[in-house]
Amino acid sequence: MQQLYNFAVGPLAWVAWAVFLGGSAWRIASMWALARKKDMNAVAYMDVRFAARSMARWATPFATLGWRANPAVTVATFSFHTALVLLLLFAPGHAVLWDYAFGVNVWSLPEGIADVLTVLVILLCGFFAWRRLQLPTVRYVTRPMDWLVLALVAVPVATAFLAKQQIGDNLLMSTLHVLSGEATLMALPFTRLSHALFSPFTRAYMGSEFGGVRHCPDW
Amino acid sequence: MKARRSLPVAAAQMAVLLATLAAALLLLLLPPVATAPAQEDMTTLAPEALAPHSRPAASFVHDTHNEKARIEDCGVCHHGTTEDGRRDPAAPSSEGTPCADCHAADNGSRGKGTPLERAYHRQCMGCHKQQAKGPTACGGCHAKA
Repeated sequence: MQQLYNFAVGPLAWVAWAVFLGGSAWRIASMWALARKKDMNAVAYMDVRFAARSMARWATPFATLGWRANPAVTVATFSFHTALVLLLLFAPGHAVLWDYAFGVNVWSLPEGIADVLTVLVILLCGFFAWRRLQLPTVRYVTRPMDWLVLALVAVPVATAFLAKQQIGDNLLMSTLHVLSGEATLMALPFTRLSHALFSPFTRAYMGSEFGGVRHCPDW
Repeated sequence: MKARRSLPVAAAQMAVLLATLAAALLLLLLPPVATAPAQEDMTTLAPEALAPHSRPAASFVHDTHNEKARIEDCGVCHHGTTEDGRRDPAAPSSEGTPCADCHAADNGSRGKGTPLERAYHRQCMGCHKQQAKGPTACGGCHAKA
């Protein structure tokens, strides 16, 4: 198990980052080529001002009709994404790995805050799972892929919590955390997690279409 | 009927979410887990220079470790340095000199040399990886007492 952990934080980490970066570049390039081929009109109407306006609106809680329609989901999704990104970039354990491997000193969250954010993300994964199971409108549009991407977030975060709090076999939890995190990183460009890559383009498209063609706001 | 149905759904979602957020907030109110201070010499590594310590002290029983790892040369860990402060295996070893005397406690320091926390991590984890023996995950050394 110790050797598997060493392999996971060593060579496999390079593979995971390569697949993530290469896969992301390929997905964006091929999507761009497809857009130019099939929807040149939309590409021609792309407008930075309308795109930025749409992004700013949709990046602000309750600044759109969509965000106002369902306050619980708005609060949940903003908390979930904010906490997740903060943990990815600034978890104290992640900072130690940057420092160890590259001698890069990264600012990190205080331990207590990181712990609370971790629990928050786990509970919000539960909230999203509850919606998919219990609300008919959400259940109707739920596909196996949706469960996969929820698991791809929930497993690394749950194992992070168990490893950090030293619940269960610590080496096993640490190994599962690193392996599942790398699985998520590699899966990002090729699953619905790719909204992390494509959401700026979606907003740019919608913002430009509504701003430049329909002459009305898209929020 | 439809309008009457949609309100409870939104309210139910809000109730579930609020319960979720309340659970997370409760954690903030819990007292932090106290870590046992190092009582005896050389059972843990918790240099004062790095206080306040955010993780449990790294367990390290000096003699047991070195017996197990078959380290007889003190200079393997208590390494000497060249005149300009670089690690030098050929230089006289440095036991008795606290690591913090040379390694700056501030990890953000841009001065010469490896900062203290990085020096510990690289010394321990680096050797453990190289030898393919000994823990390298956080909790392997920073175990709760």
